[in-house]
Amino acid sequence: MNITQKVSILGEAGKWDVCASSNSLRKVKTQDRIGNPSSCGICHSFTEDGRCISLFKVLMTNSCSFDCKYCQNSISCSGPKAMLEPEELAKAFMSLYIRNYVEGLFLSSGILGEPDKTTEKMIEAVKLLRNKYKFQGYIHFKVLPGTSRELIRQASELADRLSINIEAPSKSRLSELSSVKDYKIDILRRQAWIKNMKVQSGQTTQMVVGASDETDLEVLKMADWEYHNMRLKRAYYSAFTPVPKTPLHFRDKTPLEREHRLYNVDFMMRKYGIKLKEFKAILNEKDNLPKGDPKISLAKQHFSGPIDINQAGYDELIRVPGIGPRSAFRIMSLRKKKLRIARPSQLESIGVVMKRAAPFLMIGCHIQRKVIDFAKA
Amino acid sequence: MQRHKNSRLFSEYPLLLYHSRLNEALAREASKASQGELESLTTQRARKLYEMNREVSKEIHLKKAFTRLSISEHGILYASLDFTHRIEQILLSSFTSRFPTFIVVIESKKKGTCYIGKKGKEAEKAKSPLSQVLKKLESQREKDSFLEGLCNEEELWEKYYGSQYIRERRNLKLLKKNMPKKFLQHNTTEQRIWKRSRDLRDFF
Repeated sequence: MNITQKVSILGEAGKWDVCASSNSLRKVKTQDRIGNPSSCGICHSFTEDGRCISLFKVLMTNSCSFDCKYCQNSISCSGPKAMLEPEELAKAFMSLYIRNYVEGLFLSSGILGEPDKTTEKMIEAVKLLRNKYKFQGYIHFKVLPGTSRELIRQASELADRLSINIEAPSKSRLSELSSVKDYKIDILRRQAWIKNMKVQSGQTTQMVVGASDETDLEVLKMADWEYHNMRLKRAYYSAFTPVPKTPLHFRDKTPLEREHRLYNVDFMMRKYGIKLKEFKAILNEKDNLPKGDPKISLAKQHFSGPIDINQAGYDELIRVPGIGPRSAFRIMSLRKKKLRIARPSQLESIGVVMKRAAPFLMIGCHIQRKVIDFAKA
Repeated sequence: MQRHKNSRLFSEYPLLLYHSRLNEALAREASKASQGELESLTTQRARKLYEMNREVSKEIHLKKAFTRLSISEHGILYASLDFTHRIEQILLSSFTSRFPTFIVVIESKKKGTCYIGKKGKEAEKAKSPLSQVLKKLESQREKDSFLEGLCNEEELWEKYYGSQYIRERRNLKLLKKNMPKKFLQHNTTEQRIWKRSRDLRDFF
């Protein structure tokens, strides 16, 4: 099997890992190098599913001795298996990087026997890139559950970002999916170690949504806990998709809208500073987010009527659909300069999406409503 | 335009200077914009300037993302591109700082000019075709042994790109939204479909 064939198999096996972020603030001083990290992420291509390709995302091997029921690489699944040697991985990656096809490396792996043995091989590949090929660009290193502290420390010195997938929102949920992984010891303990290490772009994690019968509330609670206790940069959510020949192949596919809603709420928790308890009020009886945009549901819950754009505070403004932190900041800075907003077109100039914001706003004593609102009333 | 270079306008929107439609008269007019106007974007003039700055910024970002560099065996990275705005030097410096051990050459097809970047030196301009510039540079450099072991990137990329697609999440609308049409032809495996079909619409 040549490198290209291996990359095809191992790229296919690694495509379910979501993180495509490639930004790092690491400063590179030496001139005898290839590559540098970018402070803003760059997408170098997009696949037919609309997702961006910014990183060379492959596994070292897709052979795995774990039995995760949702995973196409688990021990129970047959299919073509491959393993990249560190030198092969380094060559393949550099061939693409130097021609500007990718922004960095995302390295993960199936666990062949002991997690430490596989991790050692992954570290060897990264060391080869950093030392022999003098690569100074972005590297995302996936920590395997159960890896020893020393190896994680070594990885943290080489990579820009570390991550370990928690896969499920709780110990009991994970035990439905895997009989091998210990939620607290293999995963959370490793996250706590990473938290105390100096990793330039911090750590992230990923959950499979819908593989067990977890609710949105469970998922969001766990994400919130991770943000506060593990200094997580981001949580990623991946809607469960049944993979043929896996034990969960009979299970229904999770709608992508569910994943999208979770990202919406996650974003509002991280960037808007809205607390999780506020979202609890909009959950349905099954503790899931209602259909539609969570921000609109939240606004309907929060506001009893339209608010005056020239008097509402920042916290109120960012709760209006169509107004984000940047436009809310602009509105506040205009107010500080004693400038009043008198027309909807001014808000549009600022960047407010009036189509969404209008029903919640009052501009110069005028309530902005559409004919359709009257029809509903 | 140089007179306005240090004005508040260009500290707020530094990329405006590289916009293809920025001339002396526009720069003079734009310099009259007040700080409040520029910050709040509540006037048409401020909005226009903001959009112009964004157009340049967007082109820089897209060029950084979708430019594919070719390599000569003498360690020269090169590409021949069409530019809308005057960003050749910005792009060149970005690649030069990323690959300091290589010489980077960017040809502007429209202008017929090559921009040559070497780390630590100012960019050189050469008013001759890319092939001639490469020939000249190659004669001054020895072959780079580092490049010998690298793979055939086109085949590798094609396989890798194909492996990343999740069939169950197929979303051509999103692809169309994210991927600029003009870059589609040389960045994806849809290249094959592209070659086969006469129009992108055939594919969509």
